Amino acid sequence: MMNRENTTREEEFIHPARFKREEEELYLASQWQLMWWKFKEHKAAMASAIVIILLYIIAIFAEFFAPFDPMRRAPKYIQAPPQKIHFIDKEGFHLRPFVYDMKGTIDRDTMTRVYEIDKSYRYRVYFFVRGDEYKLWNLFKCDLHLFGTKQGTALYLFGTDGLGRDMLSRIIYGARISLSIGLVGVFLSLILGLILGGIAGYFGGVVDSAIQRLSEVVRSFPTIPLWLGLSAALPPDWPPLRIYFGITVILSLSGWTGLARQARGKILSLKTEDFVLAARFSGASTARVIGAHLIPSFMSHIIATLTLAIPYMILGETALSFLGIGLRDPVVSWGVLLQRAQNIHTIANNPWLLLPGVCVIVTILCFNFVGDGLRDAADPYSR
Amino acid sequence: MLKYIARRLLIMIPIFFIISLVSFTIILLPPGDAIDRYMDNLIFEHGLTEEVKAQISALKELYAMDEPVWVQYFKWMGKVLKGDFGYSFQWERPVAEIIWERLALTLIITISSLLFSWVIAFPVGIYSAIKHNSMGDYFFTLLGFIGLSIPNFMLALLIMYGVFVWFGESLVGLFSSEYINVPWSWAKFVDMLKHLWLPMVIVGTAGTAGLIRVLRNNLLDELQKPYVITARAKGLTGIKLLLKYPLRVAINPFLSTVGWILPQLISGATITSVVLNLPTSGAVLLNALLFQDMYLAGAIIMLLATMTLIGTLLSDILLAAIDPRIKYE
Amino acid sequence: MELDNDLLLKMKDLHVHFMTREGVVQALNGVNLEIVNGEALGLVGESGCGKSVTAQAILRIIPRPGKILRGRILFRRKNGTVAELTQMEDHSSQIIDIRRKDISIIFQEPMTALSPVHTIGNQIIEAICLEREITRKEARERAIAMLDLVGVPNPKFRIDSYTFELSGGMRQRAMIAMALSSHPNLLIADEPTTAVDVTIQAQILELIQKLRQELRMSTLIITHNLGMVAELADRVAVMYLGRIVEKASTADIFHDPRHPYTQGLINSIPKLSNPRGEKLWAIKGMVPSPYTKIYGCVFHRRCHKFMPGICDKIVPQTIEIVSGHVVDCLLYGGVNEGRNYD
Repeated sequence: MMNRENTTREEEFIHPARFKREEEELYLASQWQLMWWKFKEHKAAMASAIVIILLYIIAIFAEFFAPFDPMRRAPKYIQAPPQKIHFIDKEGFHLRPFVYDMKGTIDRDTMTRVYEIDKSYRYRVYFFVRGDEYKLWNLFKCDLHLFGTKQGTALYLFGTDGLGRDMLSRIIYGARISLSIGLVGVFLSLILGLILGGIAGYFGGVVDSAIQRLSEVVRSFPTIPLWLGLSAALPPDWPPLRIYFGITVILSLSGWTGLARQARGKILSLKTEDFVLAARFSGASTARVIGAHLIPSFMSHIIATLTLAIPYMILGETALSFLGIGLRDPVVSWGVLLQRAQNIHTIANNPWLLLPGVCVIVTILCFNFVGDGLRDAADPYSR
Repeated sequence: MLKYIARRLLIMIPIFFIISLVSFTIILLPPGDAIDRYMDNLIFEHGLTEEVKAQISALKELYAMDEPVWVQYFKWMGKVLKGDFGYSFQWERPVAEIIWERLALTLIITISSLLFSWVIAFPVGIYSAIKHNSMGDYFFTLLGFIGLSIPNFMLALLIMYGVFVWFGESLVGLFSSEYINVPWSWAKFVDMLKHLWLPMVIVGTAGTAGLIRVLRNNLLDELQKPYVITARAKGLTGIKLLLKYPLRVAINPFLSTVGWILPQLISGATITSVVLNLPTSGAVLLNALLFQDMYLAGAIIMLLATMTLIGTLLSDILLAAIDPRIKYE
Repeated sequence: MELDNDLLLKMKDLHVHFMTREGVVQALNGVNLEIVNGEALGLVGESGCGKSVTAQAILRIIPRPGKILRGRILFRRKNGTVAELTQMEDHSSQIIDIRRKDISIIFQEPMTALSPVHTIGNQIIEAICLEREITRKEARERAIAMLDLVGVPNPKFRIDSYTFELSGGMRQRAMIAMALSSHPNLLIADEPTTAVDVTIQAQILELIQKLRQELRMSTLIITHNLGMVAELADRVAVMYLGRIVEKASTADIFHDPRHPYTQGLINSIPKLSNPRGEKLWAIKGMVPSPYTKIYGCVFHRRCHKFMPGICDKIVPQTIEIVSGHVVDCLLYGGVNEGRNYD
């Protein structure tokens, strides 16, 4: 019996206005394209992804974006509040923004520092100015900054700290450390997780049980106490870079469990999944099974998990440094910056010291959105 | 049921040993610790007299410092199991004296945060599932995300700041000044409750977001299942239908999240108590580490981890009591 | 439109659409059904033709995003009143009352259709208590009696078993007991034996047959299994892609099928009497995607008696062959009166 149908007329698909993509396009799209389209629908994730990319660009080119050198002290401007950007003064509207200078005095009654705005001179803000000299990535000498005043005077958009150092610049440099620790830590966790999970899945039996018990222990260990304990082991006289790596190692020691579980599951499925069997029966070699079948089904989840693990690392470093047991001065990270903000009186008088914390919140929020979006995009069954 | 409990207890034993190993490793980790400093101090202050030498050799004997690592470990474990956690050089008192009251308070904060997060997550999760994709759902999901993204200590700082600015007082400490070193009484208890809400809310918020998601997603899954349709077709309606069938099943994964929420809460309690100046194990731990008072630190870490373990066991038992399918495995 | 005295349920021109993200699925496109008092009506068709949606429409449990667009369903309740099921709100107290007392449904997969965390006793007693005011003790006794009626051995003990503790056949019996415990006027069985193996199938069929006779219940049997239909049904309605294409007595459907689809179904059944070596008959083509809109007769693309220019343009009318046997097919007339497309 021939299986052809009687066709004398085209049939019509009924599309509600929302769904415009042709069915054929859907059929032929690769897995990554499908993920991308799905991801694009998640508005919050898209917006957050853009924010994150911007943050990393700023972190990479920190020297350029920061108006001042983060170590530069300004004795005249200790604990100065953030300066406002103005466009309008007695003479009217100006296209180029400007700031006023401020003079600090100590109020005798409250024994706190008070700043008075001096409206006598407009310090115009220019873009691409020459300012403090720096070495981009410790390699290239340069002195170009994104913005600043021509005279190199006070332009403290986020205020200053107890030594008169510009908070905005310090936050920008801090971004470099805090954001990169996230990536490095996650990378280490990934390797640790893949290896341990892979071994557990591959060898099975006692090895599998042992590694599973281990991951259970790690997962149920309260993280902060564990990290505190391990961080205390880092000799305080180590150079900052080594401490940085020490911290990332410590953080990744508790972060590998999720990835290990996924890796183990996938290796186990090598032995049992129907689609793997089917591939084998069609004649695919083991390498092809792993490369063309397992890894793609694996990758999308891994990426989603990794993205969600990054905020965990950033949080860890921030918390440790905040407590004084992670990174320390002169290293600048958001956690180190927050160290100054432990005391209620300090915060009450200088609330801008909390700004690095706000940056942490925003970063983590964005990563959570992106991770959520990726997880939804990777899941073929979610609506 | 008893067999189930017995099995879980059995598994707990190797885990407990691993915890003790990790804790002991932490004790030994710092290069040169408080004992050395203490001994150096002795020599410095009193000179290398016979008395001092005797003291030093007694200490060395007590802590088996000249012997290989595993002997030290066994001597330490032996004492720990008898309740002797060593001596704190910083406080110059036995560790056990210092930590019990502090740990009790940590426990109180942890349990109250857990209850807090359940009380919030439960209705919000149910609401989100029933009215999923509505404005309310999106709002709560967003709120949950934000809650998830604010680190505990940041929240503590922000709230401290807010309270200070609006109410002019500082909400630190677990007791008002008049109750600090006073023995327990009803009044002291009430005073504690008045101060407890702050750490409870701070520590609880991070966990709440995760719980809401779990409950919402599980309930959503269950709502589509055939047995719910059967119940509707029988003529069951409204709350009764919801509670008896899909919720009953969705609650199980919700309860089992206690397993991973507990370490989070204890962790959060640790760091929040540092910021808020609460007399719990967190602040003591931090101090001990800064001073390299390792026996104190190691004991606290081990006890915190063990508390987590016991908590997880209790939640698993609770889960088994509720879900008949588990008992019959 | 009134409900004739001998009819229990009458469904007229029912349209149910599902507005999904990918398109509109026209699940039911003008379904006309009648169930006579005390009879068993078999509703037959391939997977996806809309049989289950028909059952869901009767009980008003169509899942979102489905909606009844137009049409009427009239139903005679136990107390004699005639209810118009399409006029009620999804959650109105009327339809809830009907679900509790007048209509019961058993589903395909008892493992998932029964609660995983409650005993079967609990679920049956719940059904009994929903139907009338009764003490729990009495309800429990009635539940045990029901379990006995459906053939569950040792019902006093089994009543406290959990769903997962029972075998497949037991579970299906428990579900039948639960459905019957409210003494419904109409029992809807949605693929009752699809999920059990063949020997159990036979037992369940016997059970349903026995219960029908003892309880004088009307039944709507939804299935793709023609064998079951032959055993149980008095009359058969054949469904394709949301439309009823033929209705007749069971004997007529098997011995004198008029619609090409019905003929195809009957011919596809392998018979022992067929000569050896003869190829098995199959309806050509495949069930089209649920999003397609088909012009003219809904079956024309796969019809072995397709008339080009007619079947792909004109929607067939309902033609009466003999009393009690109707077909929707242009082979038997209606070419001039037919409309061009829906």
